[in-house]
Amino acid sequence: MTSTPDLTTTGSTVLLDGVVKRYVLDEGTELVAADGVSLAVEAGGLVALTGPSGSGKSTLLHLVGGVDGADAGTITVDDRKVTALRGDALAAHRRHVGFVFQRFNLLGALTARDNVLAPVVPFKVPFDKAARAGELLAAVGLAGREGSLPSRMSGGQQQRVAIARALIWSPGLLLADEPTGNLDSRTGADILDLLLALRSERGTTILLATHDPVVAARCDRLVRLQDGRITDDVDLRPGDVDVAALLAGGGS
Amino acid sequence: MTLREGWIKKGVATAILTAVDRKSFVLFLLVLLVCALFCVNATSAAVRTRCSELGVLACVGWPRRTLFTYLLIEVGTVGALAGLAGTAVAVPAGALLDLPVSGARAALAVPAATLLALVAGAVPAARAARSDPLEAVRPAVRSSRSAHAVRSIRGLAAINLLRVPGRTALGILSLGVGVFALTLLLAVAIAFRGAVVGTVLGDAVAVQVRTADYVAVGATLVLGCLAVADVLYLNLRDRSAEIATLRATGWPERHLTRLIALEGAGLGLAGGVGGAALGLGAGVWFIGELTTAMPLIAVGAAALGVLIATLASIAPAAGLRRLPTATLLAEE
Repeated sequence: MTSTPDLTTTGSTVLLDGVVKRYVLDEGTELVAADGVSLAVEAGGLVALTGPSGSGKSTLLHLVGGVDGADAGTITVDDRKVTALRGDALAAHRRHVGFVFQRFNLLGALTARDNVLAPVVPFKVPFDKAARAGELLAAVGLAGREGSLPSRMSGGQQQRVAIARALIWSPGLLLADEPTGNLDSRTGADILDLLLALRSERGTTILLATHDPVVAARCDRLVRLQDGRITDDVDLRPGDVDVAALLAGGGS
Repeated sequence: MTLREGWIKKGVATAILTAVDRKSFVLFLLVLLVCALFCVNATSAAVRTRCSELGVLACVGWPRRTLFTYLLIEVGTVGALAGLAGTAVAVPAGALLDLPVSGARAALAVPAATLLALVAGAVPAARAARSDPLEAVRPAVRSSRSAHAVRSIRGLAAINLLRVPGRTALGILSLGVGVFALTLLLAVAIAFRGAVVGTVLGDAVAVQVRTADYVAVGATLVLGCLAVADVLYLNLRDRSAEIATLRATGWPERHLTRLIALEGAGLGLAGGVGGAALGLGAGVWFIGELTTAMPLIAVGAAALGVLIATLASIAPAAGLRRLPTATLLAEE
């Protein structure tokens, strides 16, 4: 039986408790990408995960999204204990989560419409697939581009398709790994506007990994990572935090 | 190859043996053809994998001729090593099958395999040496030139095969050769039995040739199976980021496995039906008539081709679980 997420969106809550993830590198050395990370994100929150390369931003997103397994600790999304899920249950969890990647990861042979529909290809769903793909593409500003191939789209357009794909299951949680990293600053700002609008309209919780202070400054909250540990956790909503200085200085 | 001479005619043994030799020679050539297809596929894959490396060498001034020679030396070395392995296996295998092979004859496998590898590898190597260096160091987004609608796993499997037409054709051809050989051999064997077996001479000849022929056909089928597995493995490697994306968007493992199995079955269907149809046609030409058994043989051989290709997907599909999903998703 297929577990299909509820298509009415409400933001998910995310809770990490003492999460540890280690990688063994080629030289036999060990990299601790998450070193006892504990973090609570409320429903509808927009959290920027920042930090230098290798600090563990992407790892945390992968662990929460269930595409990598933690070595210790627990991760809970809504009422699902992700760290305890295996097999089909883990795949079902992934359908409750939308992923947006730095390099888009579109399927090159498929049109924009079919890329949006790729996650639902194996499933019977309670909606008209083509109509829903059209709606989502229109929502990300790509009405009329349903039949375009990724190779004939700009980077910004490809990222919009990737965002529409991430929304196909109406997830309560969106995980965006450097979503503006491969885009020029103007296109990146457009993509960020889109994510913020989606959050406002749908109440989707967004965890966004970025090293760009401009992107981080537009989030509600900034969580800074260093060597797999949280070094800063700052509420940005008051609007009086100098994010660039915070990130450049390496501490609050 | 139906022999209708009366037994009082002189030279009938020679006629049978000539026909038998011709059949064995054709089967031997088919084995070599599948080996050559393997070499083409392997060389193309090696070139594709090292596109950036070759581009860098071209950028730093390596002439095209030098790049071509560099690649050919690699291919030739692999061919020579394969020939050595063939020599080492030929003598004991011959003894085991009661087909005596002298050391000197077995050693011929080394130059034969080297030459075969060089011929098969020349085209992909030349293509790689001619490629634009900048294009090689900055590979373009691999994509299709035409849009395909996909609504099912089967449809996605078909698209994945169409995306790499050359590689898919090599897989189909490799399997098709095996199915063709099987169809032809069985058709001829049955016709042979009707014509000559039952006589002392016919029985003797049939027993003498059957082992070698079946070994040859078995070898082409095994090679065809390996070629399909190779195609699926290479496709999987090239599309690993896409597979990781599908997994991240919630595709269960069984559906990913089904995708790979359907790609294998697609290759099997094309290779099996194509090979069986050609084998049937060749059988009619060879024997001179269409017997009632021949279409059944062709259907059976085609079904075997599909089965073999589907089974060939097991190992690549098992490799799915080893794909480093998180690493592939994070690659910049």
